[in-house]
Amino acid sequence: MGAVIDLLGHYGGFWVAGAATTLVLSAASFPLSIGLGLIIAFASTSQDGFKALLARFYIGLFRGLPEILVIFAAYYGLNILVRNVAGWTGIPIPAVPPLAAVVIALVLQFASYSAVVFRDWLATLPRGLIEAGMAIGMSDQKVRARILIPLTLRQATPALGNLFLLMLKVSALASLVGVVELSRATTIISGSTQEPLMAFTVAAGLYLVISAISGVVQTRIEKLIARSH
Amino acid sequence: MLSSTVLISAPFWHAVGKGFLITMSLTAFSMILGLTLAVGLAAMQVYARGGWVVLSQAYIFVFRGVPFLILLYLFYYGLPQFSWMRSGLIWDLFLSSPYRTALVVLTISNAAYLAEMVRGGMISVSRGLVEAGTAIGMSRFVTFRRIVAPIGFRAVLGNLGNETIAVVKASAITSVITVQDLMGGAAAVGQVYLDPFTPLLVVGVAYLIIVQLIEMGVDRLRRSLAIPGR
Repeated sequence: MGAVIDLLGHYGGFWVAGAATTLVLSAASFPLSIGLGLIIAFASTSQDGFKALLARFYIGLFRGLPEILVIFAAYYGLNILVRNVAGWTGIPIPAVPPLAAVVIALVLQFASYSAVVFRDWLATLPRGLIEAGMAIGMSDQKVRARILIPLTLRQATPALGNLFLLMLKVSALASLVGVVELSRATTIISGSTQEPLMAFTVAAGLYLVISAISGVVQTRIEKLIARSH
Repeated sequence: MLSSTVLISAPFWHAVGKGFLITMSLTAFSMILGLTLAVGLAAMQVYARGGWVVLSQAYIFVFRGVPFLILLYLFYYGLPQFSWMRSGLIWDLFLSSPYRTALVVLTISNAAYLAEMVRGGMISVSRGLVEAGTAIGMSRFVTFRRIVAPIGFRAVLGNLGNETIAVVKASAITSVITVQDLMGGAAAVGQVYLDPFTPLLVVGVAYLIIVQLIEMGVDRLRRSLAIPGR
């Protein structure tokens, strides 16, 4: 126990900074993935057959690929793209920072997860709601913005909370392309102290704390929503 | 750089083939072992009380809350710090081999997710059915095997399919402790050809095929287990 306190005393600040990066990474990616997920969910329920097919293809693709593969592919792929564009145009473009690549990967992947959640909830909304909106002269967009999206978001809150917890854990893979978040910070500490057991136990504890806090926030939000009904 | 050199190399396709088998075996074994462990964990919550319930809940909280990557590191780098772990049975059986370490960690974490599903399946079987079994003289074990298990299994089949897919995807992470699975094997060859990207495209297609096969398998199983006329 004394050794753990020693370790925390020396590297506490580094760990807290890593944990903060983990939180920021998920907090930045999550809303974007929900936005994209909504767009895909609407496309998948669209009358336009081609749009619906495209949405189904997107969902099938990103639900089936391992997160680690998407992160690596985004990191290497974006850098190849940037290098080629720089080569063709002669404009020097800096390399894509790992953090940006990971945010893009998380957004693309989690959009497919949230699209499935939204699609299932959209299917349960009574058609009368849409017809009521149209009857008072709302456009399709307005029906979506004023009726469908608020209701779906409200219904899907528990599922979205679980997705956020999943994202917190998946974001640990960002460490593999060099983002210094909680996991990478821990690997560095483990290397310099030669105490992997203790370092990774502390990291596991920190992840549990972050998850527990997020869980509490989630229940709060769910209660707030339930009260507003 | 993106090129096709790696695509026409024999070692690459050899690694993909071998990696495919390793990914499949990691998934299959950790589903079988994980399900066994999960039935125990779920039974602790449904049929036991007091300390057993808390123990099972704590297990599920910890192994569902910690990222799989951290668990892998903890077992692969952390545990060998105990000198008694570096010799004897545990070392020979598990920690000396990345594949078997990966299988153990995959199973432990998989069991936490499966336990929640199995528990749901167990509670979904109505008490009346269990009492009916007892009434015709079935023992508790026979009641479980003949009534609770088959009915509960049908209820959680869809979730089991999703969890199998999640395991396939999680198994790709074991490549970080040098397991030569679909991800790790192909990536290693990619490093040799200084082309980390092209192998990912091939491997991605392979993962999509595996996921599709699992979905088709679950669908088939569901149809063959469906109660006729319902």
